[in-house]
Amino acid sequence: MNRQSGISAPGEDLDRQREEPPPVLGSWGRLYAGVIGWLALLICTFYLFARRYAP
Amino acid sequence: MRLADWFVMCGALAFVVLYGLWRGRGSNSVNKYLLAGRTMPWHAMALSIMATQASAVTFISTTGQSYVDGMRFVQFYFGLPVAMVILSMTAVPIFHRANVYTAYEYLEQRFDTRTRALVSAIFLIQRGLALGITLFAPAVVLTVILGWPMRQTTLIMGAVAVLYTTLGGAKTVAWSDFQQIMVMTAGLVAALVAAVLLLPGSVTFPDAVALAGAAGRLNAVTLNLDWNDRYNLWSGLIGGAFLALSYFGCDQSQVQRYLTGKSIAQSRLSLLFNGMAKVPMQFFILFIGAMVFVFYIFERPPLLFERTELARIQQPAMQSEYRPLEDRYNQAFENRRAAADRLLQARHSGDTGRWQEELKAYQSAQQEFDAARRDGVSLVERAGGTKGLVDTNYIFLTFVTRHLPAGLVGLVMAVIFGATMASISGEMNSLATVTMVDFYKRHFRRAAPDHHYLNVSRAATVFWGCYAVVTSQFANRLGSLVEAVNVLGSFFYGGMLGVFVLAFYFPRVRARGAFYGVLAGEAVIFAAYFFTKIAFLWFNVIGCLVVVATGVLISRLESSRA
Repeated sequence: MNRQSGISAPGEDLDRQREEPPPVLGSWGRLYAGVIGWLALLICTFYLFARRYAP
Repeated sequence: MRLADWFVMCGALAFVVLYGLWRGRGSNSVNKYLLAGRTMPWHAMALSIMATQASAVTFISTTGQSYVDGMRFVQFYFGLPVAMVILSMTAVPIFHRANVYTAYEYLEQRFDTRTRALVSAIFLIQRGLALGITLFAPAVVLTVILGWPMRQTTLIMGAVAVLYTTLGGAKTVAWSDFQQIMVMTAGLVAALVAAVLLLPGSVTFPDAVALAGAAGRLNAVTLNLDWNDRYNLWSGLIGGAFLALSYFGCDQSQVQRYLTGKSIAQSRLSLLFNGMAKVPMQFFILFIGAMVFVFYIFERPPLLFERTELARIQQPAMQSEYRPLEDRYNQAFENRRAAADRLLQARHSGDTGRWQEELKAYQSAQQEFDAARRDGVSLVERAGGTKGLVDTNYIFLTFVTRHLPAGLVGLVMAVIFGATMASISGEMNSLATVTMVDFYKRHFRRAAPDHHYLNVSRAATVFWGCYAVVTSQFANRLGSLVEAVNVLGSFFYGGMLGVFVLAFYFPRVRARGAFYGVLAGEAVIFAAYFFTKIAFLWFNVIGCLVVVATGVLISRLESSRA
């Protein structure tokens, strides 16, 4: 974006950053899958918890 | 509050604020003031995002909601991790590459000035109103505890938050949020431990969980698909995902938090961490409410937790009606306590038949108790008090102030006050950013020195602080505060999300389609609110779909004419 004078532009090498891998699991795809898997695990746990103590 | 409580509360808050100001020193340019110079690591952003979202409302109202309605509210957050993944894949790299200060700047790059101005204005209205509710919540605390007048209380709270937000900017906001989450965690763990330890010696932790479950307070997952039901698995996963997409993808108060990241990867990690931590955190907070419910099975709670309204029906003129109700309520409490004791005996005996029999008696006693409370609410109305009184927001605070030991009360108060400051500081910071970047600089003065825009940003922060104090005066009419915030968001988020979906995924859609799409989406959302009984979580889905459909249709018509 062409920023008008006044506000300083952040100015970073964003293309390089795009390729930066996550610190765990090796790729962003695997990390995303891990987050969704964690959600599934939580829902199952909560469901079992709710059923276990349902009136 | 005792001396130890004041010492703990003031010490914790002073540490959080001073630490934030120290870390935020040197914010002497617009880039540093609004985006922390894009230097923030993922862990600071992650906790800042969580702190901005978790206001005092989260602790005051969510625990009360669990006390009254059970834990099903946790489902509201099931869509959040899904949204975090989607935003990490799309919005984070797009916003970073666009090199923007606000999400709405990107809309001008993609569409036109008019669309940017419309969506920015929607944000200012919606977030400005929510800011008032956020500020109102701790004022409830002070009114209950100290009897301070609401107006002065909101004024003091607003002034403190304005002061450090104005001085330090985004970096101070982020680092004070970081410390605030630490205080919150300590306070919440202490509150849960205290609630369990304060139970009678004969009631173990598994017993307490069983009693909460038997009263329907552990209903964390409900599978029924009902469009009019606010919280079930489906509304949480679908409606909650749309709301989270809107909140974290289109609301500058959140977008600005992860725009401060030093790289795309750091911003992504902050969102993904939030996605993993938020659901367990909400479960934990709701569980505290369930344990407070069990505590009050054995310790008689007030007929109404709202002391002002309780005093109204206790006045001499109402005694002829209040006395019989109080006797009935006390009897209902004793009956429920006795039924709970018998239920636990049945549990320990392992006799399934006896358990079922005692369970029915316990549930019947609970219904009798609830009916007495409802009659108390009706008596308030007859006494000229609040119609349809909802005292959910006072339950947790009553428990804290009446039953927790010295020092711990101060810690919980620090959690509530600090959470408010964390939220409103982030919100004021974002409102000031949009006011300066999307309106002042874009429409009034496009070329000026950096320090001029820095001063305008600071002035805008002060303005939004004043606005928050004024709107907070009306927040006590909105029932459950946490729901009020979310309902308010749902009026606008669907339209905002729709226009960003068009921008990201529909390259052929043009400016006219996007602009009228937003207007159509908002019209349908308000029509749904006034003329249907559809639960508010679905407004985001409906609004987003209407914006996308309208935008695509208008753009196709334009293309066919060209």
